[in-house]
Amino acid sequence: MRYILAISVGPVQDFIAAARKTRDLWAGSEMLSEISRQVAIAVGGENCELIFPAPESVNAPEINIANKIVAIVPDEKDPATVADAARVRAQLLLDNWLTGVRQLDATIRADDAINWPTAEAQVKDFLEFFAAWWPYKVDEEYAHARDMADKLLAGRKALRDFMPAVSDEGVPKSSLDGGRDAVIDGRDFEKHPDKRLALGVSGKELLDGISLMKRLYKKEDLRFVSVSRVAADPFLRAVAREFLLDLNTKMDSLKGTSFVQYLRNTPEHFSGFPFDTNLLFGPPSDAEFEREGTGPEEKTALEEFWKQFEKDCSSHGMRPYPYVAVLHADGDFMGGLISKITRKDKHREFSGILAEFAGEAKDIVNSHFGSLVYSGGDDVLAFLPLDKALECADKLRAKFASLLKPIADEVLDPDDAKPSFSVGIAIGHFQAPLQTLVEWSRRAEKAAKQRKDHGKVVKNALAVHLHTHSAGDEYTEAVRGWEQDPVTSFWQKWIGYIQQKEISSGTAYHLRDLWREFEDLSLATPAKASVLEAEARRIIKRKRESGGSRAQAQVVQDDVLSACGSPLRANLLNNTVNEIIISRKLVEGTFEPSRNGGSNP
Amino acid sequence: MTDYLIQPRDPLMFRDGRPFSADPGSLAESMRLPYPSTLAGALRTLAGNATGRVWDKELAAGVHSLKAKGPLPIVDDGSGWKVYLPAPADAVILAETDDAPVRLMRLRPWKIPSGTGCNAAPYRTKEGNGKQAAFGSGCGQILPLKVTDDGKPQGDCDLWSLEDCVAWLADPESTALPGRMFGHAPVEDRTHVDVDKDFLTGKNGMLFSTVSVTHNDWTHTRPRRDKPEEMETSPARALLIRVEGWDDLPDETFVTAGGERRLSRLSSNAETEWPEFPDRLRDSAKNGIRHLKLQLVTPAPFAHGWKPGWVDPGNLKTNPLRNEEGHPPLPIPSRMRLVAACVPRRQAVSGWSNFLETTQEPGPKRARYLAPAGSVYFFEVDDGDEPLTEKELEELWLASICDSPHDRGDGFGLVVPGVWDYAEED
Repeated sequence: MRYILAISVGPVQDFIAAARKTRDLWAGSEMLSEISRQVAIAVGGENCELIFPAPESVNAPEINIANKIVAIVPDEKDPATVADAARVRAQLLLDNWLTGVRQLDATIRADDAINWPTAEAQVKDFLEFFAAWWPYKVDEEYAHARDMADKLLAGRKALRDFMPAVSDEGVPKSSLDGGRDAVIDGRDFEKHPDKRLALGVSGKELLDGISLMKRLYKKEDLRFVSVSRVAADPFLRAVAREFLLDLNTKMDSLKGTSFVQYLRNTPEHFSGFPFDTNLLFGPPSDAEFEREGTGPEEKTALEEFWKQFEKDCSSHGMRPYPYVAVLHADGDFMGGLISKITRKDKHREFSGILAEFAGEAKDIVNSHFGSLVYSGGDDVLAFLPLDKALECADKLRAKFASLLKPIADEVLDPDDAKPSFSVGIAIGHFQAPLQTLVEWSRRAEKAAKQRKDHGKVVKNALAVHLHTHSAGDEYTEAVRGWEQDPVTSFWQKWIGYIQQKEISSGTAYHLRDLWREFEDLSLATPAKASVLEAEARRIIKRKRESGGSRAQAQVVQDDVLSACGSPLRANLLNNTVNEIIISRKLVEGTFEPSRNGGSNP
Repeated sequence: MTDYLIQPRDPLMFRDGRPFSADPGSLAESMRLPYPSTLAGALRTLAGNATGRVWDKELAAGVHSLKAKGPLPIVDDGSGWKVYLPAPADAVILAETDDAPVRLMRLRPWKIPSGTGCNAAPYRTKEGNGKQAAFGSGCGQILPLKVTDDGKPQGDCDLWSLEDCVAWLADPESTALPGRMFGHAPVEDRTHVDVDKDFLTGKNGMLFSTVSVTHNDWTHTRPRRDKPEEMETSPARALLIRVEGWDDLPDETFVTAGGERRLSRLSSNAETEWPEFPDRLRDSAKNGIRHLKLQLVTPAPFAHGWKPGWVDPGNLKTNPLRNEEGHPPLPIPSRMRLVAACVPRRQAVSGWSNFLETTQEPGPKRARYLAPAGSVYFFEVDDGDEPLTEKELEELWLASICDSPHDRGDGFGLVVPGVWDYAEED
């Protein structure tokens, strides 16, 4: 008798989302991936055969491991014991991380600033661990056993057991998790800001044991850069070489201040300007100077820098644009594909493909000057500069499709839904709260996954949401199926037309007014649609900016109207209008390389 | 005993324990439904203020004789105010797929075949701050629930009408979709600027955001944002709360509830009645029942984490006398055994106290974890014991099953009872 053992570890979303800095976000995903890796190693070490993750990815530290582990437990082993060994190993990793914090605490002599008994108790209660197993005898029963182990795991997870909170009266809660007592308070370090900075805590911040552990996770390894650095990337890539060199020198001279962080060990594509770029978007406010206890000399130096930078930007005719794209993507119809895999060798092959995709996704994000938070299984989360986000989404989708196609062709029936890849991109101001930015990207991904065609959920889409800084929770949404090749056939066209001044800023808003006027009317009759179409043509023609070419005008009209369907449909007109509105934002965040040579930092 | 309708006038903010200050980029978020203690506290403040006395320790203790039940969400979708309850966690509404419409999966306790298994759901019996763990020995006996469909859950099914909930509770087999349900009240984002107190001007760069829950005053019907050709109803919403032990609250006033001193209208309610024990449930218990489930309609802090303290840690039998000394026993029949539970991820509650127990000074209360509203606990009466009666079921209707009398007085842990069956065996 063998067993399929299925294990799930957590918490996932709440843990990852409890983040103030982008590093927290990255560290949360990395830590969860490492916990899952330890579970996989422990299970493998009990002579079990790993199905998911692929054994080769367990040994590849650069590949993230998803939080679900599936393995075959051999006859002589008790699955309950294997599961328990895995849980113990995962807990050991957590304990070791905390020990690391403790050693740092001892080294810098933070003098009882950390409440260790509470921190330890919080770490003991942190892990969510669920395991279920189902026996089978012969290979023909494998698929059934795997399916049942999955269902039993889901049935076990219906009870999300938890312990009573570890908490004391009178203790403030963590800034990142309102359910946990703070074990460290930034305000306790007024006389020793160096110790506070060594512990990664800001002036007024309160952190619980888990969040502190996350903050200090691989603290010296700054592979993950801030959102502002990603937002500034198109500007830094485009500016003249001398300007960039000068900027590097100036930032280097300011790196001792609280407002300029030098990024050690950044990936190659950020190494041309290895600094945090908040300062490029505006001088710190008086309140921020006050919070950081900035002295008058330092304050003057920072203000002088900003004044000169403003002047330089004006003379070069470009300045950094404060918006960034957050990409969240996930495979579609994967459950259907998995359920059609009946043999364990195929199942393992499938795990191997996902591991390969995770590795490829990282390279694709890096080659588009992005910062990858997570890539594991069929899931990707990354921050990208505005000028590269769409292209990156397209590359990820193409890679996913090409890697999955052979196995999908082999195991799926012609009528089955084929695996595809839905991508959500949220465009938001880099100063929007981090948790909000990530939540927006999830919302965009959900919109992609909800795409319907003739009343059927077909997914396989690119959804882009634009959140402007002043609009609160309101956003502009554009969704198109990948089968329409949206990046090349639509987005890049709109961007090109806006750059060539063939479409003015007023065009989209006038078209939107037209849509609002007609949205409630039935467009079923061709006569009504043709009136609407004629009006849309008039708007595009009239609103063409003075710089646009007359010859192109007809092409632009045809392209915009063909994107709205034939006969013209109100919902497609709305979607196209939104694409153009969002494209304007993307154009504002895209810079032509300077004539003195783009510096490609 | 008076029932009150709380109709929020402003967007309300019910924050968790995270400290919040108006620093650049900071965000204050609200929960979708207030915790019972938040509203009980608001009413006690109102009660205390109405006495005209100075707030001292004696008055603070005195107003605790005001006991609250609820809040129960009430919704008007155009057909008048009706009570809604948080969706039962053992009912999973699955989204439409290519080959299946929107459907409901009933999760039921599953006597799994021998040879199969899952890890135990531990709980800690040590109360207080729990830094020394003592684990219950009965945790291995808890059954998993049977998942019969691997579809994806559908959103916006958070609140079910009372009628739909009762139908669900009274029929152990039905998988009929609820006729009336809604998502939680929507939220509203606002961007604020910190104001310089000396000059009353906005401080440079000091933008922060808040997210609040908005309750419509009346029902709106408008085109769907994602599909303008379809209409959607955005109902009017309010909260219903029952007050016991205090008769001097005004019949009609405004009250601040939650953060930022946002206003709600409080009126002794004439339009919506506190739900009575329904005949349909009475009928289901006519011949006695052996399988009772309790569904939380407000969240509950329990002494052992996810497991109520009145369930014996060893044999999982219920014991209404496992209660704080000097308090009446819980309305829990003593011959039941906990078989299974369906509990979503825990929530956390803390708050601020003007008189902490330990120091008698103002300060943050300790954090406690809650089994969320909608959680379901499945109990069985063994063959040798008498089945449960109609009366025992009635006593549990909208009663609080919290271990602590203080929590019961705040309105935590209200339940509605129902019947259940085991999942079919394979």
